[in-house]
Amino acid sequence: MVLAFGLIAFAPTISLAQPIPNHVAIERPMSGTVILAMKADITLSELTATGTADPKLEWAENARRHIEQAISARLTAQGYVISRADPTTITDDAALQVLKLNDAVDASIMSHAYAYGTGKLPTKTSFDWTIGEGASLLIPADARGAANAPRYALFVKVKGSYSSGARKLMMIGAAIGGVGIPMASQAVEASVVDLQTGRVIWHKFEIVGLGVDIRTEAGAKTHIESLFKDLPL
Amino acid sequence: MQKPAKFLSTILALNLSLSPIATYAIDVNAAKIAGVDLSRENPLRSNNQQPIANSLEAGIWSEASKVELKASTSGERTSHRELETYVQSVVARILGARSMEVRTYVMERPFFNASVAPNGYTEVWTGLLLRVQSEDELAFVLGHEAGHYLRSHSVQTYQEYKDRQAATLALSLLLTVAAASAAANANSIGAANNIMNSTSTLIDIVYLGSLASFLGYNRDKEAAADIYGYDFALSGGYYPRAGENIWRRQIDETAASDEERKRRSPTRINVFGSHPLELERIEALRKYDMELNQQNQSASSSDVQKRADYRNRIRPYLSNWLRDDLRRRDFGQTIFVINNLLIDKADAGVLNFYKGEALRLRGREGDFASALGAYQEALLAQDAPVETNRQIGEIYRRQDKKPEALAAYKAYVAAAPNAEDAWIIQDLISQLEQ
Repeated sequence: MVLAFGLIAFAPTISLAQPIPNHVAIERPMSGTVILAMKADITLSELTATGTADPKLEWAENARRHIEQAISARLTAQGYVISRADPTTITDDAALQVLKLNDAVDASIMSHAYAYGTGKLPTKTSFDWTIGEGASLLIPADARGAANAPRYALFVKVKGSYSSGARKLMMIGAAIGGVGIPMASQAVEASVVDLQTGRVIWHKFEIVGLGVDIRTEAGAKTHIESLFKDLPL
Repeated sequence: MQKPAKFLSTILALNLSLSPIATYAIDVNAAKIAGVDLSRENPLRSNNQQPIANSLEAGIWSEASKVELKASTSGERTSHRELETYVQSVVARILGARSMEVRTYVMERPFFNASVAPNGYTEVWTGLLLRVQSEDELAFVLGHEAGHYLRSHSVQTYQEYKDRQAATLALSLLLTVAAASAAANANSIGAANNIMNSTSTLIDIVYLGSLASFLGYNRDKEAAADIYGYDFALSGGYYPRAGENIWRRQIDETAASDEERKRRSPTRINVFGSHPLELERIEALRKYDMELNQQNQSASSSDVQKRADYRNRIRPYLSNWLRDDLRRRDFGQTIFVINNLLIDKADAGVLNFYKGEALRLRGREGDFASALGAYQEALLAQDAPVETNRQIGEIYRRQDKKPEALAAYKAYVAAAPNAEDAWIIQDLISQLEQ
């Protein structure tokens, strides 16, 4: 019984091994380089006792506030300047196409790096991904060509759920009976794109550690530190 | 005296600036007599009603708006924005001032589908626009969808599903725990497996039962939405019985399928349903109409004119939609759709051409001969696609009728000397002439 419970609790903490490099080596950008932080796409749900995942807007908004703050603090401490953009407000057709391409490239990286062999591209031996020079279309029109135009774009996606109180109780109860019920977990996917060349310079997918609550200031900070460990910026 | 709804719709026809939503009063009793229970329906959403902060609905709306953004920038959204403007103008006629709450996007997908998201964003697929025959029918479908939205059906369905799930889960958990402890005490692996297997069978029954009642609720909501569709159509000044026509044609299209499996299944709500769904709904709509009109049925005037008006709207896209429909590879259904469009004799060139294509692609016994007939019929009309002669040539060539094939191919090349495949056909002509 105890063993069964241990296994259930352990399952979500298994981190996904990353078999291939997830970034390119770049010269550290100058202090004052502008980084365009795209508004994070966040969905957090409440995993109920019955197994439905009820989307919770206020959780997503809390997580967004704290994650954006943690990112800002981390990057400004390094001397970078943060500028913000909301990709959901882009209406220019060509820029929209670039956004969609970026999503597609992210999906390819995910499938190549994490699909445990089934989606792995045999000829992709180094971290070599690009969305092309069209990436510059993501630079807000008023900043295009300016000296302080953003050089890199940072994309963050968060998806996950937290168990409701009833579900936690049920997990314990079921575990005592020897049955495992999946626990809630959250995952963060982030990438940095060079807005001049379109090159993806870093991509990372990480499951939020047990005991880290990204809806809180401290939790978001802890996770961003872990997420950005190998960020080449 | 006229019923209030009808009376007001007459006023509306004269003064469109009045918001039809103000007239929106459903006859709950008439619906009940027609077999549709509206007593447990949510109240009508108020104007631009937003979800309460931190509610489940707020979360669902937020997700729905993400999907809306995806749809609005999707490559499958039609590039013919004037078509969306037209569909939205029908929404405006039935919803008046509230029409901006139901935002329609036309998606180029060859299936009969319209769906509304919890936040009011609505997809209308071109396969539906091809299949409705008048603006009245379109108004009914849009009114049906608006009904789902304005009565907050999706959140209610989700809640009901959860309540049902709770009961299912409690039972299945109980059984699983019981089985697990029994298996732990069993003295062989085989015995343990048997115990687990028999329990999983039990769980499936419980699960499927829950699913059935979930779908059952959906059916209730569909029937309710039909009543709303009727009322909205009426208040927008449309012929309210148009809905019956759509559902009836959907049943007939199912029966026209090439596949036996399809012919048998979709006229029922689901594997648990014992009654054909659409027939019940048609009957409910008919009875509702009778109740509202003192047992006389509403009649439509100028059916032919209405179909012609609608055809004028969709004519520019007809060819593309028919070509898309062929991709479903259910040629029996495509032919059924085309035959319905052929009632009015308009567009005989395009319609007969695609009828020929469907027959040629199906290629069953006798289909080639029928395809040839359809192509030849197309040629009699002004709007026959230039490719018609090429297809005729192709069939003659397969039938080894050289002179006829040559004549048709030559007619094609003469009519379309700059066509991309003109050189291929020219080559075929040379081969046949040897």
